[in-house]
Amino acid sequence: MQIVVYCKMPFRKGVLPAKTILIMKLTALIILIATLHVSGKTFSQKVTISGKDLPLSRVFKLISKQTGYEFLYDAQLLRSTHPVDLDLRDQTLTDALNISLKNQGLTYHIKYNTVIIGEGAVQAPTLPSTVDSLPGPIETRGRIMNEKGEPLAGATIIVKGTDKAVMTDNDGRFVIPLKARKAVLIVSFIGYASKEIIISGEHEIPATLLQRSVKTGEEAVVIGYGTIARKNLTGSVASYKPGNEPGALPLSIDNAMVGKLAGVYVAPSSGVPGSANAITIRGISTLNTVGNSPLIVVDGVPIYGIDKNLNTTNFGAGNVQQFAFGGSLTQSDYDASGQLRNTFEKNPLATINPDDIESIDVLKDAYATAIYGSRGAAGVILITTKKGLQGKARIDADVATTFNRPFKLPALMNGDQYAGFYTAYFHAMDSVSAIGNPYYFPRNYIFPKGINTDWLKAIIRTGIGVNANIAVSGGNDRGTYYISGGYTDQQSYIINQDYKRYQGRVRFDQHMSQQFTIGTDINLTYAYNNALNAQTIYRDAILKSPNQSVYNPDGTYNWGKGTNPIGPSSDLNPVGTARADKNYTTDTRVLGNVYAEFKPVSWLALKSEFGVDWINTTAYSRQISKPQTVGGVGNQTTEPLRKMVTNNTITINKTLGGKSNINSVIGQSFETSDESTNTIWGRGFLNNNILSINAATQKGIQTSLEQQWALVSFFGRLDYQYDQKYLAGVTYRLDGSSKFAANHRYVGFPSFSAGWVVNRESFMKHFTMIDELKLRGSLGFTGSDGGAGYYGNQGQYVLNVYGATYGNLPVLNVSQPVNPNLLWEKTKTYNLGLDLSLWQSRLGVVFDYYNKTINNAILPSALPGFMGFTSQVQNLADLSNRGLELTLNTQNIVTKDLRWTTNFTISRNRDIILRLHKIDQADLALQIEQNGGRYWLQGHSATEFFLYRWGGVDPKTGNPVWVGADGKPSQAPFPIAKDAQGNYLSTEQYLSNRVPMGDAMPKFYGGFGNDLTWKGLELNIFFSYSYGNKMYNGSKATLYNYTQASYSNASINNLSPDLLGYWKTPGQQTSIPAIINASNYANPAYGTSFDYTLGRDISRFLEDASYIKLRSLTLAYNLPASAMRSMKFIHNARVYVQGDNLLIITKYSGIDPEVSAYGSSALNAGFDELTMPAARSFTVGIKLGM
Amino acid sequence: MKSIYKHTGWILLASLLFISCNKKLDLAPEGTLTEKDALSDSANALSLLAGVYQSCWLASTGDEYTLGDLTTGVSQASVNNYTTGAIDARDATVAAFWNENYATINLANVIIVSLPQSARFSAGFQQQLIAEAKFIRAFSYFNLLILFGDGALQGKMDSMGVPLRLQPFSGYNGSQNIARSTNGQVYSQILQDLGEAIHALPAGYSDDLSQRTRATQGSGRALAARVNLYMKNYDQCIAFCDSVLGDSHFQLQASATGVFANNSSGTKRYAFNPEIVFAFPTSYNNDPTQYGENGIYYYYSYIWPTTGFAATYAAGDLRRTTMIMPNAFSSNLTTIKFSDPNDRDNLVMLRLAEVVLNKAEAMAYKAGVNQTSVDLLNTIHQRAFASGSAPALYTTGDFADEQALIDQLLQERQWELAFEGQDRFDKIRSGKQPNPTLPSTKYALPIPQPDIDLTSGLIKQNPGY
Repeated sequence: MQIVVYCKMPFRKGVLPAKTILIMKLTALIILIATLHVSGKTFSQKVTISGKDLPLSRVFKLISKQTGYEFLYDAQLLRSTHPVDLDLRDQTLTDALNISLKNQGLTYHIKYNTVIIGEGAVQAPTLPSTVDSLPGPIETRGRIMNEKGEPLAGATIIVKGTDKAVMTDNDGRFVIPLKARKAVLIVSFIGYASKEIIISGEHEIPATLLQRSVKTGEEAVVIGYGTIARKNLTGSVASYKPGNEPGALPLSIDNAMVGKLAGVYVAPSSGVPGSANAITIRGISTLNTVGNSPLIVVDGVPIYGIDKNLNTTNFGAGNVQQFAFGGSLTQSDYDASGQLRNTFEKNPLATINPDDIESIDVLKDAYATAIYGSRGAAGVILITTKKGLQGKARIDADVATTFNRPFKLPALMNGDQYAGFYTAYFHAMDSVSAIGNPYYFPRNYIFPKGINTDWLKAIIRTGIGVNANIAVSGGNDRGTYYISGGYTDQQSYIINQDYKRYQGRVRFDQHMSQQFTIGTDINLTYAYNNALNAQTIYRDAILKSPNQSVYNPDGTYNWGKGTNPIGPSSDLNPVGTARADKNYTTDTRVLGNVYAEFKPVSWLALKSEFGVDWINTTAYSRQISKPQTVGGVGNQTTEPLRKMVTNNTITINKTLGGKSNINSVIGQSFETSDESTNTIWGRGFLNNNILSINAATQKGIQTSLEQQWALVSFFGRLDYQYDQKYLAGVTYRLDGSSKFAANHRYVGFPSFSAGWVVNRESFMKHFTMIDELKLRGSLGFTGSDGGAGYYGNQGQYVLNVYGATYGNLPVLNVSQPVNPNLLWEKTKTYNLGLDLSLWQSRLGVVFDYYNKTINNAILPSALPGFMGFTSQVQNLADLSNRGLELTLNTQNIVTKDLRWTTNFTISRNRDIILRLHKIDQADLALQIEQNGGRYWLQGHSATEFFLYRWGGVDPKTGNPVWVGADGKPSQAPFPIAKDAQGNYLSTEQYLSNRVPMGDAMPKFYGGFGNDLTWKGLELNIFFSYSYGNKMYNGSKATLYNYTQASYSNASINNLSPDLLGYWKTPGQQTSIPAIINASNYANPAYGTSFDYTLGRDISRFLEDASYIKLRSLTLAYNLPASAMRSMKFIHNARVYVQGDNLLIITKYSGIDPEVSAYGSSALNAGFDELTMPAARSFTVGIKLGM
Repeated sequence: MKSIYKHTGWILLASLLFISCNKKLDLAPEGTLTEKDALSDSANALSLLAGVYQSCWLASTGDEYTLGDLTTGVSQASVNNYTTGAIDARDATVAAFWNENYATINLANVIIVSLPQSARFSAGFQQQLIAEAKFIRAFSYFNLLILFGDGALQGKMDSMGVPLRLQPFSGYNGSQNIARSTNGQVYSQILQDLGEAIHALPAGYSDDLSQRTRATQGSGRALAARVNLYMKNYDQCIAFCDSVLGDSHFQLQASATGVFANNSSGTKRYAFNPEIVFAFPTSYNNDPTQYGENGIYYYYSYIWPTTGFAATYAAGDLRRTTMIMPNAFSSNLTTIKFSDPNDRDNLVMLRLAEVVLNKAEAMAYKAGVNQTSVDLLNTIHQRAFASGSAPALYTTGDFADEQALIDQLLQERQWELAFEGQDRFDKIRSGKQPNPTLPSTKYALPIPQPDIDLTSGLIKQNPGY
């Protein structure tokens, strides 16, 4: 047995001094010996106490000391009790309790090794007195069910006043031997109100129905390094239980969370299976494109979460980039294709089986997140997986089949329209360009008509998915287990693009002794994603010339421009790409931990856990031999990621005196990550069938990189509670990161909170409709390294990554410039909250207001080129986020047969950049934008769109009209407009015409769900909505782009049929300008062509993307208990049909208002760049309990 | 008392852990070197210097190289905004000329300034590395000056040159901003660097690859000769030319066809010949990616020699008949000088024929029509023809005046150095308009806008933009 303590790590030897290692080993040994010593001690079951005026708390302590049984009670209960005089000698535990609690108005249950003291008790000692005088034991049978009539497995039945207890089996049945004819049974089950049954000799009692507990606040909320009852919570935490979903869970759990948690904005990026989502908790917290994703912790292990860099597979490498001759930057097209075409960002949560998840708790305010210190700024998502319950083995199985199709496709020109349009365009270009330009040679292009290929139809199918899971769980008082396996096969709606996942999980928790528990939890996943190309194929199918056939006459794929006079020089044929090219990743992931917990006394727990997250990714990409890439190109990337985490905590949960209670944890954590990437490439393969890169005639290593970081942390939390009315808490975390230089390495994050449970005040006694009214507030600090690089901020050189030499000399290149002053980003958050529950939980309200300020945000800043570098990260910005969150839960109808509940969330966040660079903002904003970022200005949101205003088309000239900030129209685009003197506008002048036109983040968003059950039938309808967010319809812009025609390799892509209505005659009212106009062909002498109206900096394609989506509709039928009885092994069965994305109400003219071309990056949200929309899917499934 | 001991023990244990954990945060970067490490060891320092050469090569390739011929009608590409000067201050390619040269200068500064503090190897080798870095710094500042200096080619020594930065990068917060030095100041710095470099550089290397591709006394002098010619310091130019011409490491090829081989069969490495004074060894650079290419795409006909220019050669001129030929991919012409299908021809920057013509021209400016200049002209002109079909020798009598001789020398220079990126600068410095569409206000390229903005206007734009 090995106990892992403190920061001793079983790897990377030689880093620690030998002496330290020795001391650490000794420490481990001492703890081990102490543990064995204590666990070896045995307890007597007999109790001997004598004394006068003993307070009950003292009695409990003495009993606990002698028997090892723990006492669990609400300190308030003991207030009204009286001290007792005792003279017990070798009494049994129950006798001792019975005597002590006599006439105290208290009762007790004994569960495992815990004595639970409860209220409203009975004259318990009267029962034992009759025990011996009655005839022998009798057996009583019964059955426990919930209000729907479903059996409850694992419910506890205790004979009141004794320690006799049994549990129900999977059928909800129990048998309990009773010594007395008359007895009172207490039936309890988590989440349900306990019930007492009076027995007077029956052998069989009628089925007992338990009502779902209406008392709020009892359920445990998982917080950092511990749990707390919701009623005692002072921070802001949103919880989600996947098990409550009526139908099938999606591939990754974040897709199910959309709209369900206030303050948590989940934006699915695309319809490609396994692709990343953007999760933003309470707004933009850093200006780094990868820094806004929350920390994800699975069972105590902070996993490789939503880090765009680590999750992105780049399969474009090895291609020779196309030649591009320099020229004036006229076509302001921040072309999505270059960045997006050859990359795929995976969703890291897709390798975690949603069916294994018990609960998700999202930590939002700083009181909750500060315990995660330097990584808490963007919020924390805690995922807790399922564990076994005591009782007979239980088997849960479910199978579902899904059918999916795109719910809408973009409108495109057919082949003849396409050919006609481009022929007309080049004709117009020839006639305009030749005038006075000796360099211009007329093209005289004619695009052939006659073939009309529907490329989209050729690549779209009905994707069929299968999802099957089985879980076996159970346990006894010595321990529990949970073992599951899952298989998922999800086809996308693009041919030949599939996702498969195989998953297994094992969890054991074993009590070695009354003090000592060990356990393990291991998730194993293998995911095979063959759908990486789905987005590219979808895009290519939209853009490929429709006047070309799929195949050449000889049966080969028609890759090139075919019979068109010009066309892209790259090989494009979506059908060929889908069928012949290879593109896949395999992920094997081991995520798990082992722990040991030692509880020397009931209020103290020492826990050590060691967790790992090991991901091994292999990505393979191969383009087969094509005319432009003879022999094909391929590359293969292996990316092992290894994370190891050690947490050591001491948890104290103690009642001080009568009314005070403390709940605290102190601990220490050490985390290391080792990330490496190796990519090899090859060109010119001998044939298309040998996949090995070794078979290439030209090959090489493209990347060979290993990087590491480590984080050492010390943390503590103290929650204090007085009289269950007044709550206060403080947390502190000290983080040291290897990512910063030694002078800025450590940073501490304190936080404070307070709560007032108003309804427990005596003056609230008359307001009986109020179950709970709690006010809470917090102030805290968290931080972020803002995506700062690895290894501090020292200047570094690296051997040329391609192994390039100068002549025969190996070459060192700069990998990062020295950055001596880089600091941590710091976040300060205030939170005010209200929890309200009325009318026995018929209405539940959670309301939060927060104000989050981020200082020293790190962002790449431009440097003047003469410094030798053009960019470096600096602490240049301050941000603020303010918002409101409201969650309502109502139980509209609660009757025996009919039940209707509603859940509603609404959240609002407003982020503002308070401070930005000290240098010229507009220019810098422009530069950041040109580097693929956003146009940031102080005083505005980080996701604001600053655009030139589109003024439609001038009916007289057919020219686009640009509207200035002053409202004056211009027929020339501002960047090339001239003033009255005929000079071009200065940068400041033309940029001043860019005005804020809306935000990519919504003004408010949320979800609205209704659950209706009638007997065994259940109908669940869930809507998500978003209001006030803008989307740049880049799909449309791309389909309006016909001007990339100056080179023989131009992309003569397919277009929107809207263009056919282009301006042709003066006076014509149209929204499509003349085919050649002042904005798309300003100076033919350059021999180039461009279209200013298609850049992402004009409002022409900015649209309101507010929406209401019928996200899921599920109809389920639970087979009645009567039907179950005839089936021996099956205890409950549920069949359902489910539809997802059935209906969207939106003004957005694109297909799906929820897509994001830039994956998980919330900062780059709001762009639809022919992004593959989510599917509409139908699922049928069955869930069985055995 | 006991409890104090107990607590002290805990605190000691905790602090011990703290220290040991702190050490765990000092992670050694894998495969990367800190600047100190890179400079302390001689092999690493040499690799760092190789990085400076590589950076210099990168800055000198592509459009920056072809610009010289593209703007004067020697060659043509599908985009001709360089020709007309219609270039915006935001042009990314022009910004790259600026940024890449300054990136090179910064790396050279690291060696020049920081090497002596960290190096742990022989002082002699340190001096050589520093001298090589100074050669590169001079080379890069000269690149910058002739591209961006306002009137730098027209003798306007007091006009705006480029910012002169001689310290390595050590963080930026705005206080490092500097204005543009004058052309004269930048020229002085270039000559000072070259002077110091020549003093410490080796005359030659034992291997021919290093001899042709690393700085030597000869390459330092050849560059200094060109710089002085551009500055119109004819005496210094002649002196530098003479010492290069007397350097036994260099030798003029007997025939013009001996200078450049036809690389279109695409063998991997192309040897140098003794006429090459300084070149970038593109074909030897072991870079399998597209970044290893020159970016000078004559072979693929993205840029091509104009028929008009080809027609200017005399009949039988081998530089036309064997070195300009039809392109395999288009109806355009192409040049043997960039004939490798992988675009990996060595990039010749300084060669003896230019030095000969430099001297001839400087002599002509100094002494008018003179026999030395005419002899040097003949040296270059005669070898361009097959033996037996050479034209008559030029004589001093052929030239009416100094200008006629200079014009003929410039014509010979255009023929000889065609496609080698020189013509634009030769035209401008000799008072000729590169092409009719390029206004004189656009002779200098625009200073990249970010540098103007980020220095709050301390760096000023050239007048024509």
